[in-house]
Amino acid sequence: MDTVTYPDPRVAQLVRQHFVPLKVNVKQDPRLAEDYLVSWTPAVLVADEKGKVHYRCEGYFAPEPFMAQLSLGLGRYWLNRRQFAPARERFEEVAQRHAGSEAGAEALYWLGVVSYKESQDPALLRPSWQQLVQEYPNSAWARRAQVPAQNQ
Amino acid sequence: MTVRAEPIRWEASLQQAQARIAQEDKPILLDFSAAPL
Repeated sequence: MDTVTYPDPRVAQLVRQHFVPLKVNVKQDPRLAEDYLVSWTPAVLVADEKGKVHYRCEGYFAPEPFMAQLSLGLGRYWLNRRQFAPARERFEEVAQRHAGSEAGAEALYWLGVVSYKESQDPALLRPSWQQLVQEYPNSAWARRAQVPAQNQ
Repeated sequence: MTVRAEPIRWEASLQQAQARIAQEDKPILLDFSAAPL
């Protein structure tokens, strides 16, 4: 991550603009790894001021897919804080920029959730979820969006 | 558009990161990639 992904100017700009970044050396600070249930590296977590984790991704990511992960993490962070406008902005950005990838599918799933949470209208889940099922029929996220009629 | 190649300013401790968070409305990005387990 330090040799390719973080030095990428697009990644660096995204991190600088949207996060307070903390580098943890798990050998020097094993307690923090324990506290955050990190048993494998690389691991990247998005957390709030109370230490609550809103998103995590494990394994190596090249710059472009890592930017998608960061944006999904931001979207989940803002969604959990009920800040729907910035959450929507992040998910829409991933859905468009990373269309065709698993991150794009995940973004459509959460876009539906944002629309529902914002409006409290279950019908507003459907546009994004229908798009998800149509465009990503083999995605794990599409399977999660295919709610049986009796549960709707 | 030209993207600036300014490096990331990593905080070295959770305390430092939390102090910055008190001033900036942003989440913490914790990177545990510094050394393999």
